[in-house]
Amino acid sequence: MADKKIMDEQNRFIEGTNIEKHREWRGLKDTWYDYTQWIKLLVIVMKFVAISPFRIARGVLEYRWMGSYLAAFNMRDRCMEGLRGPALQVANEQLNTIMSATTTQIGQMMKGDRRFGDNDFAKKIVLLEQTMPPEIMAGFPNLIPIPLEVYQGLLNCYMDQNACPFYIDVMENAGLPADSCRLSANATGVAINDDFPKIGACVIENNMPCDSSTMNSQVIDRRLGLPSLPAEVPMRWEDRNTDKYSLVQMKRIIKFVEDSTGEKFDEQAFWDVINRHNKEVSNEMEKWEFMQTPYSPIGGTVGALYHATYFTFSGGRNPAFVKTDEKVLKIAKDCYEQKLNAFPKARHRAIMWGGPACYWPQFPNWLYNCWGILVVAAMDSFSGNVTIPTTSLDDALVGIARNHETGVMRRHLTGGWQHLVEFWGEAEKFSCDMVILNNDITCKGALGLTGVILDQAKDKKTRLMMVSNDMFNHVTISRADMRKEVNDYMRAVMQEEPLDASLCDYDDYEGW
Amino acid sequence: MKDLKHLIYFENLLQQADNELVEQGRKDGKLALGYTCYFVPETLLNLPGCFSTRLRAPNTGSIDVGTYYMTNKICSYTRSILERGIEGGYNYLDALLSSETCQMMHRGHEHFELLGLVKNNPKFFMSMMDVPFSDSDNAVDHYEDQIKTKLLQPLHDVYGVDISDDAVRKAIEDHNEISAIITEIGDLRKLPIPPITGYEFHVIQLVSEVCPHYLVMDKLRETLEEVKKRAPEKKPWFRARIVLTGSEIDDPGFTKLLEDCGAMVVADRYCYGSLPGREQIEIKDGETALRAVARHYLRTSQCPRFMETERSTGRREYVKQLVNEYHADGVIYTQMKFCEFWSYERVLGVHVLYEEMGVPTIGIEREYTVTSAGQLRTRFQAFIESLEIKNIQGGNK
Repeated sequence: MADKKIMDEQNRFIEGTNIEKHREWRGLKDTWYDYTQWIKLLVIVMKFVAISPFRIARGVLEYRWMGSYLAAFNMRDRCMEGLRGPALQVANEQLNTIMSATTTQIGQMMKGDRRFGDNDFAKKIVLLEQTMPPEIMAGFPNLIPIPLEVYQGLLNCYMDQNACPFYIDVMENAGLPADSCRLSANATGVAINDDFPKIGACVIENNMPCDSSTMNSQVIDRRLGLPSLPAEVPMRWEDRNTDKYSLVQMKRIIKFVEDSTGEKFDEQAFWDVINRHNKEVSNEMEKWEFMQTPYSPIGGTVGALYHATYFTFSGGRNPAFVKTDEKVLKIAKDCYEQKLNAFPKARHRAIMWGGPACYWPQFPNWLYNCWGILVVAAMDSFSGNVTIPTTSLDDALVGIARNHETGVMRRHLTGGWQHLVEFWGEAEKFSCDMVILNNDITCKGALGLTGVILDQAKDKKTRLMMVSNDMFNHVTISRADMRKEVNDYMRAVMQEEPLDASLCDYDDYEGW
Repeated sequence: MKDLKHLIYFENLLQQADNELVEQGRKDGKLALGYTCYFVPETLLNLPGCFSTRLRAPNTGSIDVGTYYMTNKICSYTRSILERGIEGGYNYLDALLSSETCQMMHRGHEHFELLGLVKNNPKFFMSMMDVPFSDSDNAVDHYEDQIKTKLLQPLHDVYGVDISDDAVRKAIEDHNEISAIITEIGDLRKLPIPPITGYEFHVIQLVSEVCPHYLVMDKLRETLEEVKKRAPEKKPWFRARIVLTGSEIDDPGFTKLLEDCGAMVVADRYCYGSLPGREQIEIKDGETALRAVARHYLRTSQCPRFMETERSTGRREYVKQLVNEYHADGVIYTQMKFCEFWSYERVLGVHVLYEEMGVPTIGIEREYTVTSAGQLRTRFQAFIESLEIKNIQGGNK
């Protein structure tokens, strides 16, 4: 029987919700540190409100999705569950940077929202669809690139599992089948419900990562009524013959932005941002060096989230990410030099792959706390990471296109089957004995290789655990369903018992 | 109407992918080049010494193995093609030319490589093209380059196929010849009482896609003459004229089901249909033959993956244009279940056609095989009845 008496962590929560009765006790030092970081988040939120208090208040009342951000504190606490010492410090440093960058942009959206009165600020914003990296806007320092769908979908879902089913229902009521990708369906539902802020001088649509994204752009375009241009980068991105076309596309975007905003491309500003982008990439590579050792404090939920965030929101524009990287690398270096095991409960090291359950971003924390499975890295961490050449403007633009082509989800779902199964090699590189494959039931690009992956797994020593999810919709596959799949696998296949049996099965269906 | 002389022969040719004309083509020493997507130009698969064969999986039964490999959330067309490939149904192929245009079919074709599905032909290869999402001049440049490097060059390198400008011109002549016949037959559907049914046309169109052109051309020409002279019924045998639009339909049984409910399919705007597909390729002054092919296929395609606003709205306008040209009473948007492209296109198309253009339109989801015929029949009957009532009441002028 498992050590229920020792841990019993789930009893810290009000039954049926995921609301804490009291904060997690981590020992005096770590509990105090965590509390100060919680206060830091409070300051970040206050700074956010200060951007435009009246408009932000109106935004909360106007937009259904805005209310879900009130759960940010809960989301933050859940991401820290079970972490101690340097692992806790790294997660806090990274998450606070995420919160700061994203709340600033939400504030900017509200500040420029024409729904609350027209102003010049709205014209400074250029909307980028989905998880398109913003590097192409590097030469426009006076403009603000803001991702269009992420705030009403991805991040929103991280905060509150009940946020997206409403918009998905809107789209299904319009006739879209329930098997369609939830990410795209959600964004289209937001558009149909007229819940996107009315901002921006223009919008750059794109074809990443997949068929549904290509299609939902066309519906959203009809609703936004802004000048638009698709940034259509090639699918067969490993084929060097496609570079010429990518370059043309990048130049078209620059001209489109110039024409739509009246701004001129500033090459000096461009190189500043590109150099910072390259610094972000080199920092990531340095982090990987540590993550491949047993003495890394980087792991669990926040690492991959951090990567996806700077990929989508910064792209070299926001200096805070480089500063945070420096702090994280220092902590990692100290940890390595002291041969400190930052995740002492870990029994397995795992790579997490595939489209995750965005309604449970803290799934890796749960895996660690319940079963001792440390998620060392996730698929999103392996997206982008392109060092953009600085040899000429054309070379740099091709590099930007390559970064775009290999972006979040796009890298692994397009360009050939070999990219989706890269996890075997990455698991070996990061000394993992397990791959956790997120089986997103609407992701056709991934589902199309299921049998091949299962066949390959038979010949591998690395264990493959498939866990189903419905990406943005917890109604079809709940967190409890996911827990059950893991519990069954760990007991039946791995013949193991949980570290904390109280976490195996509990009800959080109604909670954030 | 009197039965068409070659209809049963044509129907029999559609009973299996490896039909007697495909076998004959192979015996004649020609290369059998498979494809599924419109973006792989059929014209270029009919270069001298080759013939095109658009893949179908007729008489599909169980697709359990295909489902194991791709799960049951992938479109049944892709799974059926994969299943048939695993069964050895495409062993006659010398190459499979493909494009990363739709995710599911792209994955399906990858299995030909991954599982080594075509046996007994060590030279068999599968090649995958990148296809742009717009039709600008730069996009045509890119598409032309991809055709060159991913389609023509491998054919030349592996099989020594002549890919010269003259050879491409000859292939265009072949395309234009067969397309002229099919178009002339298809245009007869515009008449008030057409001398051909939608089902018959569907069979003829499919035959022109799956068989070697040089072996079927004479019978198609003969059929054209026959249809031109054929006496139509005195009164319309149908109660409503329908434009059928949507994703892949390679089962004439589907058209038959619809026509059995009282409709006539006057226009076939779907993958494997003739609109687009059977237009003439024109080589402009100073243009290479290959450029003409690339331009033609990119600019005639009605695939939903074209994202630009003009192309997106243009698709609905094209359907409306078909409604006018073919004097249709309504439109049916069909979508293969799980198809991401056509699920959105269906939703948008039905909304725009019905709400904004005032054309009676419905959208349906379907499987590759007509397994849910009962449900479909009920929906078709209701739609046709509503169109009929509208006509009686003079609402559709």
